Amino acid sequence: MNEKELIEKLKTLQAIEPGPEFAESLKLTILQTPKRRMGGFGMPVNILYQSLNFGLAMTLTAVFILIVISGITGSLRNQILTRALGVEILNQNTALSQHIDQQLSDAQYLNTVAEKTNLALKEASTKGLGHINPLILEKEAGNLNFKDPVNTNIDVLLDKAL
Amino acid sequence: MLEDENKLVERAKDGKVQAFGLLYEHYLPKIYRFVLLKVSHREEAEDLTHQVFLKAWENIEQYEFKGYSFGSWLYQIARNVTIDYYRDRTPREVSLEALAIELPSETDPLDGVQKKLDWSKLVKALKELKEVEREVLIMRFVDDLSIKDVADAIGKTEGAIKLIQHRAIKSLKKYFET
Repeated sequence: MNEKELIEKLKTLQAIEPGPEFAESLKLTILQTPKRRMGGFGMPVNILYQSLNFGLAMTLTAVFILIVISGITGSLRNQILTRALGVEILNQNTALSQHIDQQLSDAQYLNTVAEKTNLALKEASTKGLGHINPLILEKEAGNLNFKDPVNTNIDVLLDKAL
Repeated sequence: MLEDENKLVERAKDGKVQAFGLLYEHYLPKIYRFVLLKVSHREEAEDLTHQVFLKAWENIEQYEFKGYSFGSWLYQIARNVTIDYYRDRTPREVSLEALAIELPSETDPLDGVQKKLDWSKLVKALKELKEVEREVLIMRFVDDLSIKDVADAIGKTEGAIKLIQHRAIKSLKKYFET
């Protein structure tokens, strides 16, 4: 089969036609279908209309919610919020000031202790045992038994420990 | 190309049903053949042809005569519709029953049977070609489109279409020789 014969063979397919019933019913169906009208920017009017409609609905809903939240109940909401917030802030302030007072008190105590320790260390380093109250030293000295260095209290304590 | 086609298109764009009706009558057999020879099934070809013309009617405002004909635009739609169709399923086997080609009523019954058998073989042979080769052969020799119209419909240069056509005929010839 040469090229010409092949093309002739292909051309015989031109006899294929759609069924007349199909052709007629399709024509009626299509021509009865409402044609989309185009709006701006080549956008079909109904799509444009639908999207505008949807946008408008969303905007209105948002506005309504905003009105409900901040408009109609505004005064009541403000009162509730003010009271609620006021009480909350007051509670927080009290707790905070108590905490600060506690911290200050601790700081003062630590400062005093530090001052006293500092003073004691200074005296110890400069005067040796001289800074200790002589009356206490005398009393302690009386309790000491230099002749018999065996301290019976130690034995008692060791017995208890063992 | 239909006489005064551009005028008909303009009137159809204005919503004139009769104008689109005339375009439909002119192009229906061609588009139907094109789709049928691609999908090889009569009922599916009818559904897809329906889709092609419905899309054309609904979107006719988008067609602008920019050097390519209304026919080429219709073939572009037909190509897209068949591509979408094949996206979901694999091509089916060609059979006389599925093709269910209707012959003109005046055809002799014996001739008709022989013709249908020949067509069945031919459609099978076309199926062996690449998609674009099959499309070019159908548009060029079955639907009698010019090289330019085929190039516009497929989106290739006229030179490329000539080359595809040459290769397709060569492949088809080889198929019938073996």
